[in-house]
Amino acid sequence: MEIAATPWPIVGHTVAVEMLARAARTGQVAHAYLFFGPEGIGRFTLARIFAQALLCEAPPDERPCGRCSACQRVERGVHPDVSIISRETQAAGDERGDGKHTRISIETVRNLRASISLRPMEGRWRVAIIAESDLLSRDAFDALLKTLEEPPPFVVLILIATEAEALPETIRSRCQPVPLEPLSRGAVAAELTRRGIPPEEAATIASLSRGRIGHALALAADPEALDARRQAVDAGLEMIESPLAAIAGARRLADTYRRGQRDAVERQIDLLLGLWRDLLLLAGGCDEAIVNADRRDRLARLARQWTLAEIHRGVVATLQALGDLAINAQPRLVLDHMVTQWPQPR
Amino acid sequence: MRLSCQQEDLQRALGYVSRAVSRKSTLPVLGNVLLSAEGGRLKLAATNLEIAITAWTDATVEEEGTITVRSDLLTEFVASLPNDSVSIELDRRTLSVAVSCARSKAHIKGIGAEDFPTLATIGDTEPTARIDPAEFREAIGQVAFAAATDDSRPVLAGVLAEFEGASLTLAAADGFRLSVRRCDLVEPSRESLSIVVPARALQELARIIGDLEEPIDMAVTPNRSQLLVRAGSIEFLSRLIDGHFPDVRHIIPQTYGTRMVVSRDEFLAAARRAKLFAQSNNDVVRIQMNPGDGELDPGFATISAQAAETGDNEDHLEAQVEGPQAHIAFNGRYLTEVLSVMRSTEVALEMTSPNAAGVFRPVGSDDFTHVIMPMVVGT
Repeated sequence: MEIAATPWPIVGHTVAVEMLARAARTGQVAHAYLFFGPEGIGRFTLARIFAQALLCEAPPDERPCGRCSACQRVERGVHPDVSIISRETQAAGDERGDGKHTRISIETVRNLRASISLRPMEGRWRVAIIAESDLLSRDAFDALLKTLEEPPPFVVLILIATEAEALPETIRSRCQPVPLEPLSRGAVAAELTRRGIPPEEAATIASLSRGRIGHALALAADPEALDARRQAVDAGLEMIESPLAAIAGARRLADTYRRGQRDAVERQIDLLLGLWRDLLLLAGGCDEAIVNADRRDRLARLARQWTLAEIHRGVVATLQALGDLAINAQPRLVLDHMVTQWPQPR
Repeated sequence: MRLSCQQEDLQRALGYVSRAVSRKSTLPVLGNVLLSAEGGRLKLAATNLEIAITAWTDATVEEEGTITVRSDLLTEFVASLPNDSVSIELDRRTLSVAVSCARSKAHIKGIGAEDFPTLATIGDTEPTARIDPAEFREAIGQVAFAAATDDSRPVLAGVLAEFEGASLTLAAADGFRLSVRRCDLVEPSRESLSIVVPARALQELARIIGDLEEPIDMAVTPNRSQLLVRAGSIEFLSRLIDGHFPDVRHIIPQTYGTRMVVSRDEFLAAARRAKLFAQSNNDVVRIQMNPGDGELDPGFATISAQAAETGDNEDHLEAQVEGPQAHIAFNGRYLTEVLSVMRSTEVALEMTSPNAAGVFRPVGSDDFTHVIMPMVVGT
């Protein structure tokens, strides 16, 4: 796939980059942006580059240059006119150091408000990036609303969220929405290759990352993670291939869940869902789109024994298990039910 | 970077700049002080992103260079050294600073100066205004305390500073009181402008200029983002608050029904006594003004407070009362705070009704005005 060249050092997001670059060039910058899209696709990177474009000291056509002191300090997170709000920075600013920081508190937003009412230290803009807008407490949202209603003219707020709907309507309607989507597989693979990953491995990682470049880079940097993922896929395939393995696997997952590792279990079910999705795609003749391309033969053998409707049942059962766990259904029942609803191998 | 300077000079300079060091920050470099050897002097600077303080001290510079090191560590280490020549040398590879004096030597790990914010400076540009430090300091003391301390309206946490002609007017308000002070500039201001400076920043500035005698230079950066002050070998920077400050002239009542003139010392002492009793009753201090019969009997004022559980007190002050008998109640803290910053021997209190603002003015000067909203209490 052809990757459109953007003036900014970021992979993909062509439409958003064009819009933001134009805003930075002309100075017609909205006072608040809402970047939303799945985690790991480069939302924060885009926000940071936008901040660089606003504060860069190079002539307008060359911004962000990446070389000037402003660009470099934004990159290192030490520019005085860029505030980054996340649970981490909140914990770092905690005087007593005893807070839990599961959410972003009203205190943090109030401090931000006081800080952005001061005119810029060096540049023309004050940029505040709220890296985890989904995690603002209800009071924090209300406090933020006051700033969004009458922001100082030099302030640019960038809210980052996974889903726009997770934010109150009152907040959303005061931000310019910037929808961000997972990158194409080609774009991720090309970037990995550019960074010196062998093309074959790059293709595998790209398909596994499902368009989340952040995850792809993490996988590429950590061979053990990739191996672990392969083992998890094989375990998942085995469950789908054999009803006995399925029951045993379900029990194991339920045990893991009871030990409190909810995330690990959810990840594994998500991976199973991906396998069923691949089967559906193979049965439907869309071979190119499958995620687990390195297990194509094994998947194809499986896909051949079932009808589309049967595979669909597998997808639905797996998806339901995820939903049931999220509303705290009994895990062992949920997982047993999931595997018994799957179609039987012939 | 390689230089030597006197311990005494270095300690004094560190004492100035360390006031601007950020105590808690997500950026480690803000806990550091910048050391920069340039043109035969050592420059020290620190900032907490609200204010920045830069100080210069004489030094023998053998090699120019710049680095930042932890402020608390360096300040305490230097303070512990004998008054002798201190030599400072930077190892550019390890970013470690060697400080040695007499028989002591230390290596302090630094952070590269490229992480330190770029600070605007007055440099050689003509300052906007010049002012006498003692007068400016007094003016800040009379105004800054009335600024809001919560963050609900950022602009009210600031002090309005209006430069116009040969005068500078400072004003602060927190929604319950307003303090305005006009002072003379040494030379007329080069342009009329009005800015809002964080009250905390001005209070810090007042401390720095405390013992200076020479007039200080003030300038506002061309983009109106910062106030720069040059006082002797120190430069002070404060970021400005953005926003519209309420129009203070509209808040000050122009007429009055009853006016009393009392001794400031007596009024303050009475207010302090009343505040003791007011503490358990929302700090309500009542003032009653009673006009006299004529020339020989000017009238008197009663300052009182009462709390159901604690008790009550009452002070009678000699007062020249003009207008009909009237009463009003104020928050005791507001009352004592304004009286303690007023400098005249006699003060005037003007009011129209128990529900309208009271105005405090010094007698014999029209430079200072203070307005307090009354507390409305059942009679």
